[in-house]
Amino acid sequence: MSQAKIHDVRYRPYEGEIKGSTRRAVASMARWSALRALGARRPWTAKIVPVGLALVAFGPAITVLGIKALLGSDLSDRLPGDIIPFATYYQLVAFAILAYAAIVIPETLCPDRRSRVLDLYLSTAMSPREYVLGKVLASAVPLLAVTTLPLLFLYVGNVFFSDTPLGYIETHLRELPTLFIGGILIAFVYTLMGLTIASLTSRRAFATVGFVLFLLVTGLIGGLLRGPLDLGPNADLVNMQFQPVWLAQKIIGEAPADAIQNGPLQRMETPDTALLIISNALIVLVCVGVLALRYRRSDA
Amino acid sequence: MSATPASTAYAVGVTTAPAIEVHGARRAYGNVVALNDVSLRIDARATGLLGRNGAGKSTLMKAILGLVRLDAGEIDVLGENTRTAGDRIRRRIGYAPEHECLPPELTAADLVRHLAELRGLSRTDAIRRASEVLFAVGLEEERSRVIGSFSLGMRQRVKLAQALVHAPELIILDEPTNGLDPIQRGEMLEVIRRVSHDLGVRVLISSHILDDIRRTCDHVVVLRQGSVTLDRPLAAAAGESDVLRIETVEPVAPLAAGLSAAGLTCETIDDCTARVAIRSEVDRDLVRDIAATTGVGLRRLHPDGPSIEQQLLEAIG
Repeated sequence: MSQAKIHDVRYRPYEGEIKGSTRRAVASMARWSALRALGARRPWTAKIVPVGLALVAFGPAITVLGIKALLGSDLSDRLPGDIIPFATYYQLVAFAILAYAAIVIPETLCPDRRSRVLDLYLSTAMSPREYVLGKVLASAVPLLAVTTLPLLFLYVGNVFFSDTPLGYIETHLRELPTLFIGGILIAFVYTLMGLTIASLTSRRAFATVGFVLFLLVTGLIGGLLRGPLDLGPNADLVNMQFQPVWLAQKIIGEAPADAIQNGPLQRMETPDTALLIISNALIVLVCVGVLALRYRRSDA
Repeated sequence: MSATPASTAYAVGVTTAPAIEVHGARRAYGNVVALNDVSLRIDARATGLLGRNGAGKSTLMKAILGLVRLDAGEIDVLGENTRTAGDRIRRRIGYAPEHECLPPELTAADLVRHLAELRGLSRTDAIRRASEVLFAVGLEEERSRVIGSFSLGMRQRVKLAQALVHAPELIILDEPTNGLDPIQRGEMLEVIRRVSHDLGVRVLISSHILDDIRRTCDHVVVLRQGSVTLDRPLAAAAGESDVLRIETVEPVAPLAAGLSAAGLTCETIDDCTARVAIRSEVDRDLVRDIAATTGVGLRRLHPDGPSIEQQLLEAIG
């Protein structure tokens, strides 16, 4: 009988360090979830929606800068202000932002519940809080690409095509941090809304439809209160479609009236700033509460 | 071992504390008592948790992981209490749930690597360890395939690989052969046996199939309706015997005399039948060898009386 014996199974005790680190677990969850939602390591069809929506968000900025490149200084004679003021840019790309929140964000959350991998994650030392935090980052960071980068691209383009780049920067310097704050606010609030609705189901399609219905119904109620019932702009506080967008616009600052009148957009009266701050804070609180309830250790 | 609020490093090594100690564990779901005053100590290389469906095996495993809160009693795992150190315990042990829990769109390597990172390994170490454990469970060739294309047996191996990836001191496998065909089942049991005996990882495995436990474990705990009905090593202990009934073609007397001379207790029933008490596999081999030496043809050799197997079957109920 042969005495041969396999000694190497290429497995050895791990001698490295195991970190009990919240940061490492959250970062890993965020990275893997974001990659999956954006279609990385998946067929090209999974990449169409996120890449397409990001391109749509850049569309107005590319168009504006294209026009400026073609017409050059002639444009400043024809239009006294910017073609698209920063504060109104979101109105143009709201569809892309909402579509991203409706379609891409559920992808980060629903499959875990559907394939029951959530049980596996929570059987490690990862806590439900770390899990949700990872998912918030996985959703919000790519959404920032839609809410912040196009405006920064437009800002840089405006500087580049301006007759006096330094003068443009001097005039618009105050707007630069507000673009970040506005973009982060929009990304964060829509992320929480998308995740909250997605947390209620294990099916992505249901989460997407639920999110769209939620926005449509609240928008319809807001429209009814403001239109036929004539309750004024504050009645729009029940409309969840644009709460963070309106607040971001207030933060960035209203566009000059002449720019609006000469530009493609009409100024719309929105609720008071203080009320918008309160309503956005309430949205965040409710979403965090629902997520905390939906993701807790069921028994221990 | 150093500790900071944001990041705690855990030494990887084998503790001298018993793997699991359960003291008076009780857990009820409404009127259904899943665990009823369970007390046991598990420290063998491979321990089987045997019982019918609904006997309380999964509840006990989840309680050991700190995922189920006990109504009464305490559980210590690797020297730490599940009530106060659940996270630390889960970092030191690996767990493979019974149910389907793998994302079908990820590759085996990506999933195992991801779970390694969640358990605190650096990115570089996670890649290396994922490769090692997938090799150890026999999935090296398939590691770049998406899990959705795997057979049930391969998915069970992925579950085992992810449980091993952070080099735990103990792994808990809940019904790892569930749904497997006989060939896959045999392969899976072989892998589990190798993990416990060649790789030196202590294993707690639950099953409702007696043969699975006999083939992989050194120790068995039987649960019935939430209570421990048997807790013993699978090999016959010193002084303990299984009784074999020997039926022969020729008169059994020479064989009986030989067995008695070898120190075994042998009782002749009739011309061609005898009973012998054996204490180990060596004794069983001795029966065969003495039969050959004395030229007595064996017609049948089978357990007689309360064998370990019968004890187990009675305990399962």
